[in-house]
Amino acid sequence: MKLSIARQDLDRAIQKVLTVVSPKTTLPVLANFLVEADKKAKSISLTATDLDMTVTTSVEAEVEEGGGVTLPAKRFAEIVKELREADVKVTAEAEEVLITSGKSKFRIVGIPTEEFPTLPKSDPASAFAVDAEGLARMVDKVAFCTSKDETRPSLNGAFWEFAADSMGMTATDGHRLATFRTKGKFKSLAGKNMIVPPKALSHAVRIIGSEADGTVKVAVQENHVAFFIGTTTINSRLLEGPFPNYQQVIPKDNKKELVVDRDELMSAVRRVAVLSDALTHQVRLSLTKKKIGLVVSTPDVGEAKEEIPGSFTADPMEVGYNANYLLDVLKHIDSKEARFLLGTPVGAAVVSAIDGNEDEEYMCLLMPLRLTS
Amino acid sequence: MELLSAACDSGRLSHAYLFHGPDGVGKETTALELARALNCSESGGESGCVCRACRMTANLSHPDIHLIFPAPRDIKADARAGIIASYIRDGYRDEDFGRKSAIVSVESVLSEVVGKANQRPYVGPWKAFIIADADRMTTEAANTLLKTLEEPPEMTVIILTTSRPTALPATVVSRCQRIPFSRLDAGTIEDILLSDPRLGFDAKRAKAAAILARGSAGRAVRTEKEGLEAELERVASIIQGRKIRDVRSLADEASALAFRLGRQEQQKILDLMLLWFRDVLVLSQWDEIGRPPEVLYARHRKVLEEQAHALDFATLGRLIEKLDEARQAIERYSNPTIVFTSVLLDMAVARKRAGITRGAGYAA
Repeated sequence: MKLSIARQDLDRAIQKVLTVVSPKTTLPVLANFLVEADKKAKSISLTATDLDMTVTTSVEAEVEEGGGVTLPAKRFAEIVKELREADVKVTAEAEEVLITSGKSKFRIVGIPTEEFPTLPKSDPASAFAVDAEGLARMVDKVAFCTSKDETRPSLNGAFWEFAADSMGMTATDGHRLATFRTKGKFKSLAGKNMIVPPKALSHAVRIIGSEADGTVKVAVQENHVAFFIGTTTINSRLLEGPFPNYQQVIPKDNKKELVVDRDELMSAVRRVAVLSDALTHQVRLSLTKKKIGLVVSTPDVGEAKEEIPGSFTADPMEVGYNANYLLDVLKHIDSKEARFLLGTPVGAAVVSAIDGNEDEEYMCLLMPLRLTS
Repeated sequence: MELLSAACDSGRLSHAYLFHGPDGVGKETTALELARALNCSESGGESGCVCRACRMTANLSHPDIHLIFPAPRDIKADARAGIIASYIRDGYRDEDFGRKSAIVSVESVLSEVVGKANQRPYVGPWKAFIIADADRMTTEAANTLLKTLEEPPEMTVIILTTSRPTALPATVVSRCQRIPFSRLDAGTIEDILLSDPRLGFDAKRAKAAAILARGSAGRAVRTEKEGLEAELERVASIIQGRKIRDVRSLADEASALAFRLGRQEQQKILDLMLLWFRDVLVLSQWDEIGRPPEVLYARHRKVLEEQAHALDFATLGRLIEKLDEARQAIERYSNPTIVFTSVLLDMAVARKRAGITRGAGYAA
């Protein structure tokens, strides 16, 4: 393998795959990039995998001689980052790699490419296109609710489902739930669904941020999902289902409506939560017609009280929430004011924006904490 | 073996297996072989296949084949990587963690089995989980495993291996199909040792190691790697009571054994002591007719013969029984100082009664 490439291009490509390389791995080859040079296509590709997700990105280069090699990812990245000249030359003979740039010379030893795990390739031809911004928006609105509890593995991912005229994504950890649905034409995918690990989604969003060109192609297979974003491909395992029937837990007859300024509520919650219990983060809301009282009272710590304006349509009631969960949800609501639909003090609250976008549906469910006194 | 390949061919594979039998007879190897055959992408699992999937299995880098083994709770990732690397390189797993006890923790069961089982296979088609020495799972780990073990997702097989099936909770055992493995004879072990170039045995050493291994190829390899000769000398010296002059020095020797060595090493010492008395027993039963029997402690043949002459059959039997009990006691975490004191005392008493003076007089 023999090639020459602009340092900046190489650095940019490396940054796209570097985060996949985990610092602690039991398999030495996973700490390496797979670098492959294609003479015909005049490009090189960088691949990194953690055996759950594989990211490949390609970048233009002058390839004199094709071939492949694996290189220690962290070291290679550092070298490329620190180089000062505009061009980098990489020459590999078997596992020995020579990197030269101006007067700097590095010789590093790789691992044979055969040891790099081969992972299934998805065909971009069978993929469908989605709006890149829309996908990033959907992931942002939902993925924060994904559970980290390993004893309930099917909740460790976001549930992505398709209907003929829309697609939706839902995630929950049992304490809160976020569900987002957006319009689009997905006739060929109607009825399909999958559970995607949040790691793959957040990586896709990152790549979209750096090389969005309007659309992202997504290929769904039985066990994998692949995202084609510009010159980068992300391929991830899916999680086993079934995802719980979340429709069932969304309360349909919550009649008590609370409308409150989002920023005001968020900053008040942040203030009183300073004194909240380290475990439950409980904050108590006293809802009356025109006012919302926030109380945090933690034995041995202290008490915080605050009052903000708001409108509540039913008789006064008290309800408690985990301050962090409440803030998470409020953060993702777009409108100036947030609407809470409540039932009983122990039932889930449905939180949504006041004037939502016509083409999308978004709501969060927030389970209250049982108030003891 | 036939049972497994038949199940494999007919597609009627159980979702969970328990391979139980003595250490080092190839339970893990068989489990890996089963996993390899299931995921082989070309030849349908022929042995010696070099397709990508099989190569990845051999390197333990197959994304859908997971080997979980006991390790100390605070083991670092690179230490774990080191064990795996030496497993691939040498063909056996180093299990000596000194005085730290090796366990399969609830965290590793959660992240490596429960979590991964609920992911779709990456290369597939099968997901295989091999939990080696499953009896070292903590109770919590075993309980965490139960649900996945009972109803794993499709195309998942979980294989537990253990040399102590009775140490596993009944709830785990009842969810697995049990497959017994038996001891190997010395000839088979010799063949195994010679067949794998990674192990680096020549014919003579293979024979000695095979005898010592008592039905376990794994033990043969391990003993060899750990410097068999030096160990034999050390044990011979202990048995002859060279350092023991009075009660005090006996206690010192016992506490040296108890405190300086890890549990596994202590068991090995007791094993080697047992083999010494096996040699004595063999020599005492030899009626001077026919070929002189082969003994392990060949360098100490004189002493062995002397003991064979002096110790009567009943005493030998008692000593052997005693060592066996001691081995079990160590296994069950008894106080090693007491165990070794009692063993050394019994041997000293036996020596005295038999009037064996070698190794200085002993005043009780």
